[in-house]
Amino acid sequence: MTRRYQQRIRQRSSHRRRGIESVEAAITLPILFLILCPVLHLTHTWHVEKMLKIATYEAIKVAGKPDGTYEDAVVVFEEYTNAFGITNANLIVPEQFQIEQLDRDELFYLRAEASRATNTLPLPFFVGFNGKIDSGWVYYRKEG
Amino acid sequence: MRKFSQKRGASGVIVMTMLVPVLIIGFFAISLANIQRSESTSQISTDLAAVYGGNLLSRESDVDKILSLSEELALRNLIPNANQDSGESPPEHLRITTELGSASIGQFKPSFDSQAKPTNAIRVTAAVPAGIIVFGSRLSHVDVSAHSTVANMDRVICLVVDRSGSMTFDLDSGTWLLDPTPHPDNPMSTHPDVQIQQNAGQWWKGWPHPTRSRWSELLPAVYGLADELEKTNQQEFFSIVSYSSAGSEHRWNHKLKRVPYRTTDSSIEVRPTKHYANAVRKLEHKYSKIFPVMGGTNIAAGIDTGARVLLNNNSKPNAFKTMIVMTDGQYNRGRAPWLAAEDAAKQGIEVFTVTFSNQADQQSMILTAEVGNGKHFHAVDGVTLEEIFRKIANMPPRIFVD
Repeated sequence: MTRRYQQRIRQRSSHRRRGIESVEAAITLPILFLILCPVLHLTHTWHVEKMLKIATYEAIKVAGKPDGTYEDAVVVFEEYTNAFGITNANLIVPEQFQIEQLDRDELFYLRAEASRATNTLPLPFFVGFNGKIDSGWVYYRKEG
Repeated sequence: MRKFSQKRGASGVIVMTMLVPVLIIGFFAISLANIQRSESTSQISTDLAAVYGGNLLSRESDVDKILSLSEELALRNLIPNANQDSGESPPEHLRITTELGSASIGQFKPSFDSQAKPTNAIRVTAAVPAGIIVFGSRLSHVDVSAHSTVANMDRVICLVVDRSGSMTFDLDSGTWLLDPTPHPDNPMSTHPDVQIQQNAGQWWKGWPHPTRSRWSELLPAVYGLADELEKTNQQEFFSIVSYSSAGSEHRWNHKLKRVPYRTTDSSIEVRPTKHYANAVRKLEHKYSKIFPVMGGTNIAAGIDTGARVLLNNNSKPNAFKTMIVMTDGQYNRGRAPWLAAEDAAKQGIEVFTVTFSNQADQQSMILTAEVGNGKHFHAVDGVTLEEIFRKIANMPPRIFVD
């Protein structure tokens, strides 16, 4: 076996190794990415949920003022959601509450929801496009 | 050959080994996000409870009620997605404490002391279990705590009232009440001299009718304001300034002589005091027995004098300064009231405006309140006027101390 032949064998096996490594990486990296994506989606959803809650908190403080109205609350809510970059968000008041007609110290609650589809990260492996991100109920009492 | 096949799975092994730290990092990220979410929820809960507690504190004297309602509100907001009727019990490790105390704003930073007096602040503290989550269950408890302190700051209030001639106007007709019928408060109407009796209607053109004039509607409203200030936990300094226009006019006095009365643009009726009802009594006495209600409407002069009273050295230097400007007409003397309000606002005074009667120039006073960083209210009758004054009395500046 000449030295040149041995060199050629070594070069060929090194090329093949490199090719196999690429194939292995191509198979395993998506798995890692697959694991990472739901984590990103979940934490991002929680972040949006938190921001919705903050917007609801600001809105309910306005609605809770003695002369606070639902319209005032919506204006504040939209200011905050726009600033946070949350789209398709709605402030929800249960039917039994007429903000303007609440008695002093009467308990009331609001929540907000935003479309999950328009507020998600642009990443694959996302399920639940039709769902909503919910702020959860925020409670307050009408001030006097 | 064996060496080569062993090397062929090497990157797969490395990647598989990396899976473990990736999973750990993933769970760590989820837990961190969960802790942050809990932190935000607890902050919102304590903030809302403290703001509401601050509102209660300004109008309630029952300490237990203030503390329990604030605590209950914090609790409701801390239980995630709890519905009003769910009856969901609070998590085991959740702790809420509420305490009243005194807060002040020093030169550099605000402070809260639960032992100090006067009580003007409420602090709500919440500790919420967050923790590291693995496969849906919480492995360890990490208490996320948040607290909020809201203080009703001290206030110095100056009521600026209109004593122009229109304040003696009849409530119904909106013009002079020249009623000559006998009335115990009208000495001309019961005078034996027929000539004087015939002029009895003139009496009300200077001395306000005790039940039918605008002034008569103003007084109970100002008593209402005094009453409400008495109920607040703060000890506000309260002063009264009046305004009309400088000039001299003849009116009947109580000895039934027609004498000249010299009016000024504005005057300090009551210097800052904590005896609110006495202050109103003084105003009532002066303008029913000593001096008639007359002249034009120089609102700016009233605002300027009010600002001087509020900024006087005797007033609390760190207290919030509130001016309530009341008028039943429109300014016809002096500069525009909004210019005076702008000057007052530059000196840290909050100018609220209240228009009374439908003849009042609401647009000017809305603008005055806007530039004065205050609010405008309109009252068509005495009952509404009193409600407005009571509302303003219950609006002490509430701030987050921390």
